Amino acid sequence: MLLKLALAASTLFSIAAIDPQSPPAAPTSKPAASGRYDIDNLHTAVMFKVRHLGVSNSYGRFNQVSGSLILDADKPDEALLQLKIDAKSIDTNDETGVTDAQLDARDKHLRGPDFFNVEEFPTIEFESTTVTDQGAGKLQIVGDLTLHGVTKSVTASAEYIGTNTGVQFGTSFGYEAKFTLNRLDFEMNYMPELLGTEITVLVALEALSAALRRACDR
Amino acid sequence: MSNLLPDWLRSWLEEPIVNEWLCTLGWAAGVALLVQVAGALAGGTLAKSGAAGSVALVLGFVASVCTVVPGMPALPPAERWQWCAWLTAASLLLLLFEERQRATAMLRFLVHLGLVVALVWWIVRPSGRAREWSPLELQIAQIGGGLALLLLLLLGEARVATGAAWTQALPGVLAAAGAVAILGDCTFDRLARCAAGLFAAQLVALLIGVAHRATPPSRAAFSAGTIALSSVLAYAVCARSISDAAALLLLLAWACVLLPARTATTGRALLMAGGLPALLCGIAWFVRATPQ
Repeated sequence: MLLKLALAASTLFSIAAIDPQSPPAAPTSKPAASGRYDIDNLHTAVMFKVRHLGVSNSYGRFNQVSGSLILDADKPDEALLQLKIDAKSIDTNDETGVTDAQLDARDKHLRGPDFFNVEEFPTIEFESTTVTDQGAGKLQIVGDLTLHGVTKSVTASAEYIGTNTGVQFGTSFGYEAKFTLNRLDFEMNYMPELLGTEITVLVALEALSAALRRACDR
Repeated sequence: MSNLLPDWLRSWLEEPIVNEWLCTLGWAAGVALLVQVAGALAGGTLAKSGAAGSVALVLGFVASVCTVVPGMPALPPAERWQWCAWLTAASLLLLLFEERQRATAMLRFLVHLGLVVALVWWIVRPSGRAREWSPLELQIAQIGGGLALLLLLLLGEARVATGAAWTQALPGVLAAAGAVAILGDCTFDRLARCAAGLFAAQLVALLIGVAHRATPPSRAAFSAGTIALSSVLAYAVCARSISDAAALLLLLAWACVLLPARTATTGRALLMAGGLPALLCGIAWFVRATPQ
């Protein structure tokens, strides 16, 4: 009887440890440990804001983001962040059309050559060149952004959100970064009078240690 | 004046995008008309205004590109579709130069070949769609498309020399109008505005052709217009903005100029130069969207 109870308890413990949905440990206030981390698309958002007709801000997002982050706890300045965004995954919540032609028309226009030209430039990429620890969980990330076939340096300010140390598979943690860019610098010059040229980009990313990534994928 | 218009029309005209389209049309038509008039005045005889027709067509189209970019695109252009302005301008210069030389047909063939190769090299070759094609498929598409365009230029010029000016211009007007409607609906506004410029310039050429039936049509105008329309359509297809079938039908509508109409009655000529291209453009409208 005692043996059966012990077996049942160990089985339950194993399931809880393997299941990524199990309650996580409390987030810590310390940045993650050294290692390589993958971007978790499910918990990562790349959003943008643009002025519409000078009267309001319109928001959109990209739904497919991948990438990695290499951290060295002793040398935070040498961190390397790489992000790859599928330009075709742009989504501005445009599903209110009555006919098939109207449905998703704005997103189709954004995917077309007037804006992102996704056939020609299917991905948007970012690779950090300098990461500066500014204390209090804040980072300044300078990197090369390749958008619409043009590569320019951008500077983002990032804020550490928290770390979750997993029981068996490793660690996940999150940052939220923000930067602005001028779309004219990236030769996206359609209708500058009607649509704002300054774009604010917000990247809320969650990174998983490679082992946890593999477990989640299973 | 604005009070005379119904509310729906006034609000439509006040739409920013409509304003931009009208501005493009105005520039292209204005420049084309100005060159036609200047050519007729400077030439002294209507016969000499044939060359003015080709200059008007190209400048009208280039003016429309300039309103969209804005300004003349840089060399090399920032965006690949802007090559269409340079290609059209180059075609005009080369063809007019060749016309003045009164050279052999071989030189004209070489000019046409050079234009087609440039179009394929700068617009089609670096296509985003090419990623999905094997090298063999890519070569077939480029060489096949290039040969078809070369054939259209050679046969079209031969045909233009024998028909009335208005029968040459009408298919062009309709094909350009079809391109405007289809590109605009398939969310490529900037290229649609360039096509609108071509439409306006072609329309001016048509009106001049109707007013002066004795004026011999310009071969250079046909070839330069063909380069303008085909480069616009080629880029739209490469960018998956319109379907292959729609682009092909629009080019076929343009190619209606090849139909023989020398002995035909005016009614039959009108049917061939107007009815058939309109039908092809109508079909293109129904197959315009790229399958998602």
